[in-house]
Amino acid sequence: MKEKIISSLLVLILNLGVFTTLSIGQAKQTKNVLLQAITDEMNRSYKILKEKGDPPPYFLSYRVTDTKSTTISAAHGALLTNNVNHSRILDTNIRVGDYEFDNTRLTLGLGSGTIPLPVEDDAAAIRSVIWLGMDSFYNSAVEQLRQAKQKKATSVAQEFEAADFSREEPKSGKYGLVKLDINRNLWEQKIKKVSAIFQKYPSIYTSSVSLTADATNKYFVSTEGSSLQHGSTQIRIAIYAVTKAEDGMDLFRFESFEATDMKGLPDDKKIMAAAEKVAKDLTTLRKAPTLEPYTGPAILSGRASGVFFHEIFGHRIEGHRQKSEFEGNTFTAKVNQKVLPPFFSVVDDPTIRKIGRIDLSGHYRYDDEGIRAQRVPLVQEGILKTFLMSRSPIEGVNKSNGHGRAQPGRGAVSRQGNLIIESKKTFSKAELRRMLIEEIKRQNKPYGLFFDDISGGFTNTSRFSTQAFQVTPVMVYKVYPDGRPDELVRGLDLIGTPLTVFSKIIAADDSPEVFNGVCGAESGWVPVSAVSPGILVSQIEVQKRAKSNQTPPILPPPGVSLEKWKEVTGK
Amino acid sequence: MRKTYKIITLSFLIFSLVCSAFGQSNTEKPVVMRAVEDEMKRAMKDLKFNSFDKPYFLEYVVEDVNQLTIQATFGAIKQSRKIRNRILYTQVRVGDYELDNIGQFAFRLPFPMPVDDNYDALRRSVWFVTDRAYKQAINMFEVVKASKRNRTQDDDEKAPSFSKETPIVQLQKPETLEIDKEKWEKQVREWSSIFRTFPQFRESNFNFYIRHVNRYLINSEGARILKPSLLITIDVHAKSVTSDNTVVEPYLHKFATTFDEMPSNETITNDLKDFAKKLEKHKKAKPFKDTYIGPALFTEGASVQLFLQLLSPNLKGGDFTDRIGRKVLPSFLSVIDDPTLAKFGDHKLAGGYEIDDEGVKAKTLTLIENGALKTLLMTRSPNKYIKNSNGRARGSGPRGSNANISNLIVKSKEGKSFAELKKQLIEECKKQGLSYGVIFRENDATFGSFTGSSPVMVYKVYVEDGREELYRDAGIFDLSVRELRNILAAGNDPYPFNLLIGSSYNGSGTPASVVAPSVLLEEIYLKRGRNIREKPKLVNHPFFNKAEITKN
Repeated sequence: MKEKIISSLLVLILNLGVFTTLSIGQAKQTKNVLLQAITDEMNRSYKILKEKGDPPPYFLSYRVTDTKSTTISAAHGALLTNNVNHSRILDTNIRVGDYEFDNTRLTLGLGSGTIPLPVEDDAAAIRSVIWLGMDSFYNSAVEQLRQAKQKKATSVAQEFEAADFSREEPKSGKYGLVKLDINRNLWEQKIKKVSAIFQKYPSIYTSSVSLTADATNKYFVSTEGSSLQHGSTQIRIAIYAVTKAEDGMDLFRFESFEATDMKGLPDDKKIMAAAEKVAKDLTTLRKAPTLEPYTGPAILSGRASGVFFHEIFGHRIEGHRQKSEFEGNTFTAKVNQKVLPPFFSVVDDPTIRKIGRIDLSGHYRYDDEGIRAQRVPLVQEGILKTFLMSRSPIEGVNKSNGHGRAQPGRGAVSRQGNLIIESKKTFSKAELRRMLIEEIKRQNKPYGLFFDDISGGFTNTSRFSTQAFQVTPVMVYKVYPDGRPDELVRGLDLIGTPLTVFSKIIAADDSPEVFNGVCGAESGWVPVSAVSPGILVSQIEVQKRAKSNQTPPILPPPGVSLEKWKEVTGK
Repeated sequence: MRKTYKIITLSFLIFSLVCSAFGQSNTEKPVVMRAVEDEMKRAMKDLKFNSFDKPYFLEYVVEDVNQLTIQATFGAIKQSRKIRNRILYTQVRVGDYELDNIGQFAFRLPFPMPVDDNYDALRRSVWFVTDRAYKQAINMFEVVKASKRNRTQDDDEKAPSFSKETPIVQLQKPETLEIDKEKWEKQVREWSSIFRTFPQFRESNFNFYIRHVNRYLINSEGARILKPSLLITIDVHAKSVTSDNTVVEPYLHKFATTFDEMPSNETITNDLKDFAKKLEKHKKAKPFKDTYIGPALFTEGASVQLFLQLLSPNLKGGDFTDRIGRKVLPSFLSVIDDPTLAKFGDHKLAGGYEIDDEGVKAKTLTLIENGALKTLLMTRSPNKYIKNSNGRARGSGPRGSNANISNLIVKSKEGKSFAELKKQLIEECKKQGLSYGVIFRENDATFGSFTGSSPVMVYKVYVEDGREELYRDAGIFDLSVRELRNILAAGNDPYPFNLLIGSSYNGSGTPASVVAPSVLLEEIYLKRGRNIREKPKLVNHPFFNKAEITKN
């Protein structure tokens, strides 16, 4: 499996509001039509399938994700889109067999099927649509169980044998539903204004600025008795620009602001400043020299380290990976053993809404299997303690810890939420830099590297390929030991293998940073955060980045004189 | 005489060009047109990479789209969205009309343009895409030239790459359309909820689209076309499973190009109510289980489908390219394609237009005269015999405009009445010693394609007394355009039918019409078609109780 984290930003957000409040009376006042409809239909079909099905199901759950999404985007001062979309996705999970051995054995707990529901609160229509889809989902569950049994009968015993579904206490909780009121005209004007900044920069060939605002309400019911209703809102302003160096290399820069309500967004001045920064960074980056493959010491900024830990560590402690023989099982047998330097601890805590003023994207109240989000200490003082768990048990851990996550339309597996790296021993940024220079000298290297900003990364955790990770930096500087100023370079990717690189971490700084992004894996894209101090690593490796060999545009952009264009392109 | 005629046409064209140039000063021109035009002119003049050729032809199509899509089921809306976008399709040709970079399958990169009338931003998109398309074009041209050098040439490759045509300027005013989303949502909800009264349908999907497009065509030869168009589409599917587990899926497709032409709400409501009757009819039909080789009479919608599915694809080229001048139909049949025709009798035809989607004036074409193929439907892609377009480029999108029909009219010289044709069918059967013949007449519910895999409804006509019996799930096998030469007789009953070509049921499509009389084919091969079967569901419907379902 290849997992990915992409995009996003360190942001300062003035967010005061906690959005949704637990409204005790509400559920009683007005019964939610949707929740009632899915509950009734679930109970009805479960009862009938219990009677008539052979084998009968032992579990059925319905998860509905209702999303109202507004997208406004612009380029060069002109509107591209201003749309609202409303969707309701039902994800079902039907299980035949029993908790020990069921139809999900071969798919490691991935769900049964997805049905788009009417977006209106019409119980009869909603239930008809669900009814229409369920029959084939049940039939395939029966077929899956048959295949799983056959596979078991004809294969050698599994390396890591565990049950298929954990037993959990049913949860009930009705939280207020969320909605977002967006002044679409106002925001259209704002987004257009920000996007116009790029007109001043002829070397930036494509750019766009967008606002996406999602109000998501989730509903979860199961035949175990769970009944949940909760919502969250997520707003993002994204600034994206692309240029091409004269050697054909495409360079892009991305800045974003995330918040959980409109008030949490920064003021126009700050957004404009971010766009200017994107433009200026790219203009400089375009002319920066490329770097030859290199190995040596480096500092990773907090955001870069966050992604680094997310890839090499986070994805490898996802529970369901521990029981698959297709997976690398890097940490499976390392519980209670040292995996990191003793001054490092790692937790994944989706219950945290924000750090400082920054909203964390990986926050949630309940996971997508209806389990309450929990703080999970993964590594304590360098020692591995446990794994991130969905309801797919593994040897030694038979309960979920609220990390079963999925995008709408996918079944849940264990995923990260807010991955937080803490160091007991810290140094100031200046001290860490001094240590880097010492390390460069000690290793007799001409320079070290400083990874300031990155766009994301990916890793491979399967056995059929190399256990490697890659982090895609955007702003990287050469740090010289002789006091010369740092030099911006382009065209490289940070690469490595997990166990080796972990043994090379020397120290951490004292100012943790937040990387908010979205992470993709077999259960789809989910919002995540990675929080980490900057770290000094004695040895990293960089490789050349793949590049296009198409030339930059032949003619200057309309409105740009040939003289100006020559100045920009240097031709 | 001929010479004079030519001169007159030419001067008339020049006159009309001058007129439009005077009539439309730069400021009156829509911003989209100006932005594309200005950037195109600059590219024609200056766009050149190293020693490679400049483009010799640039074409831009902008589709300025305003669309409402409403999907509903069982009386509730599944999706309702309004989309507003502007898509730019760019074509760059390098080389010359004889040989250029564009092969048979030109791909035009769709690129989203701003929807604001912002000259600078619009022009910037044109600049960006033209650069990219030009670089692809010079690369592709090198590939084309190299393969031409390295391979022996087939006759087919002797066709020039692109035809020269007189540019036309015709600018209509861009239209804006206010769409009342809530009003239509209410209407669609109402229509869709009719299925709540039909327990016999386990599933129904009601799709409704209003698509308004201001289409711009701008090319470096001087063509400037701006045409607004509207397409309202209703697409309904319902699904039922009969007691023998056969799936029956009646549907309803309707479209109109103005709100006035739209069928009244009452008509649509009645059409929806007819779904139950269609199902009843289907249920009463017996499954076709024989193997039949013998004559067949196609009438009304079935005859239209016969010509649409077998004849019209060949009129675009293919097998017919080498058959010009040869017999493709019996001599009593002729086929014309007439975009100038607005009506056929009382029936309003849908395929009319003046200028095609590549900017070429469309003429009335006699495609087949007394059974002999005269010409083909041509776009600006020539073949080895026909070097010019006859204005049959239809549709847009990434694949550009393809040759297609406008109003295709099949005419019969010695048309017989349907009763006579039926009599002749029976005579033929008797001659061949068959106890029955077959008639196809369905044109909507459950009438699929002639490929054998989709089941069609068929009437058996018994030789002894001429009585008819309806059968379902028959499949027509091995039917090709060659069989049309063996049409024994045709009717005096031309049946007009409007349809959308190139439609993928997403609200887009190009209106066209086919008019065809009943025809008697000498021989078809009919056997049991592939019907779809579905097991009954373990769980019954949540809304209709069991008693109701069995009652119906």
